[in-house]
Amino acid sequence: MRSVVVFAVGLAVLLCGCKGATGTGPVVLHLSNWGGASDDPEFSRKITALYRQFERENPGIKVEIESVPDEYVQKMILSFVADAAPDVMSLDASSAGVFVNNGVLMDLAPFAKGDHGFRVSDFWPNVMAIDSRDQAIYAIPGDFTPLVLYYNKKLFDNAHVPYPGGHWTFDDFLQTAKKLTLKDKDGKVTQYGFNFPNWMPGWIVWLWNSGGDVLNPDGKSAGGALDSDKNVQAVTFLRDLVNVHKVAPNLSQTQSRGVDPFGNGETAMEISGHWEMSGFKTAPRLKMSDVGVTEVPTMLPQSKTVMYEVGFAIPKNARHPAEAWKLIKYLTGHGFQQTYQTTGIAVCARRDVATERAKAPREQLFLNIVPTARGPWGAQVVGYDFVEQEGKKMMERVLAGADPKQALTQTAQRIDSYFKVR
Amino acid sequence: MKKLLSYLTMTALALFLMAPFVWMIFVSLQPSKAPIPSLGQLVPEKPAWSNYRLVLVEQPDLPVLRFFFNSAFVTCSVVIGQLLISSLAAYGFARMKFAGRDLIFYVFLGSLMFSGPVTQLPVYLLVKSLGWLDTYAALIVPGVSSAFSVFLLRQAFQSIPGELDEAARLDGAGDFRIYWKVVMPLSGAALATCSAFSFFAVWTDFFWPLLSTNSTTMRTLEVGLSVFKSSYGTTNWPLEMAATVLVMIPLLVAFLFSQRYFTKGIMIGSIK
Repeated sequence: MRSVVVFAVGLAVLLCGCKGATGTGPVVLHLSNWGGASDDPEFSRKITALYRQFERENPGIKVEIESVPDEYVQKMILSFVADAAPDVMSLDASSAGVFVNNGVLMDLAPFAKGDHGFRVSDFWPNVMAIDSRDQAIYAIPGDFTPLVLYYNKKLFDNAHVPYPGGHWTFDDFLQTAKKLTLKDKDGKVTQYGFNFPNWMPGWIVWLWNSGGDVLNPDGKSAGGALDSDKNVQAVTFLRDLVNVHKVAPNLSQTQSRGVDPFGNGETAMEISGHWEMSGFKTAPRLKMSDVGVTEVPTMLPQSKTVMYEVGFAIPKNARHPAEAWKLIKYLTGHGFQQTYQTTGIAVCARRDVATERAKAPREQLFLNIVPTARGPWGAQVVGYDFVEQEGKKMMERVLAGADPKQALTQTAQRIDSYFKVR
Repeated sequence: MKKLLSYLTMTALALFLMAPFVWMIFVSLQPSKAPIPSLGQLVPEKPAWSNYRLVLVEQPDLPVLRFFFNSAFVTCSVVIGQLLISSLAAYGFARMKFAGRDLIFYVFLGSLMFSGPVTQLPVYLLVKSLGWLDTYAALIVPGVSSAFSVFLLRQAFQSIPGELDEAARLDGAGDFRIYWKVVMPLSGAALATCSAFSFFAVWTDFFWPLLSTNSTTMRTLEVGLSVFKSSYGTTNWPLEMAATVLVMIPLLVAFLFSQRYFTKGIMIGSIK
């Protein structure tokens, strides 16, 4: 009996004690991101040191990182509902629409205008545009990446195939991929030309480059856009890469390996973003000097690509907007970005840092592609995550034998009925 | 012969059920970043024990010991709290007579029909308005009531003869004394079963600790080590599996000690 009382009192004391300090003290800024394990402890230490430097430069402000290792968007939505949002939120372009369009973020344009130490013109204009609406800026971009086509120079050399460079068509690509798909004596494939994970944020570039798109220009419906003949061609082409020409492994082959086959030196080409670079650096079977970068094949006069960006935003009813702005300015500033981008995670949204890093020729190739890149639909449209889920299912059905035209039409209908009720 | 057959079947079944765990341990010993091995290459030539060091020590942003403490503290608090509160409620349902008792009990049971996510939003809002987000209170308090435990304990308490209560009452014992000195000591198995179930549920819970805490120092093991399952790029499977093994070890130990209560728990509701 006594032990129960002791336990209850103990628990009560403990719970109250943990409520967290309130009242006057330093302003603690909570900065949310999606975390992730680091391959490079040294880098993590450098970044931590940079946050401490910010605290020294701005006495009275403390920074606390809140990393959310999973379900980031869901957790953030919930935290806005409960008025418990972080002071500064990392905003991923692929889901920015949910937050920007629902009006939960602060317009940062007045801060940007009123601050002599900050220039909008330091940033790539089309990157800054992703989280902006007219004159309003809802997030200051930190970094971004256009999707590019990576190729393994060593595997090209082995097969005596010239490196791709500049404009090339779907057919040029197919012929190249065929030459890079190798078989042993028994007819078993030992090396694939291309890696095709069913990842819609990646394969959308094939639709764009055949002249199609997922949604109509107003972003409100898919019917007439997703089921267009051009998309049917693109999806058929992708299906045939796997099912007919067999220049890419099928999905179960890719998934059962659990590793990026390109990064493991097993396929000659893949389409992905700059973040792969941080993995390539430590990949055991791929030399960095063998990684080539070029534009995505296209049926148009000019190749197009998508770019994914990460920005920093302040919730509309933030408690410490002025301090939060200081932190954003620091995070997107030259000093922080210069160190941060050494991981190779992305391209800096600041043109000065990006240009400094482009002294390495491969980085310059990314910069060349930037003007042809456009932000993802997810930055404009609420509910685009549903579109991407449906797109993935559609591609699975097509790879399993469904008719592309029919699958695209059905998916467009499902998306439109979802948009109607949402 | 019959015995032999049943042993053979059991062994086969046990091996089948153990396979994922064995697989997990072998993959966790593959070199970091290695592809998922085919079955023929499952046993690594040179086990990469360094994966465990990578997970435990070499992540400056991951205070793994703190995660361990949080998981252990939260789990123990919930288990103890849940036992006390649920057994008090169960005592009420089993022993006291009041209007609407059965109705309230069925409402309790009905709450078992809702899946967790349905209640998560209101609980989150409640916890937030109490100012508990990112505290141990958020991790512990919502867990201390459990309709399942109340149900299980009520069944167990009902199987204890009422004559014992009456004898105690004649000796001058009140309800609380009967609950604490008569009913509780006779319900060891049921209480152990409840603890085992809640221990497993809380230790492995992912979504609630993810929602209700923000700072790294408040993370439980399950959430803290999930960073290895990367949402960007490709998952580093050997490290992910090493982290999973670390999360599972305490569970395995707990299970070895409590497995007989698991099987008992299944029967408790049926015997009267």
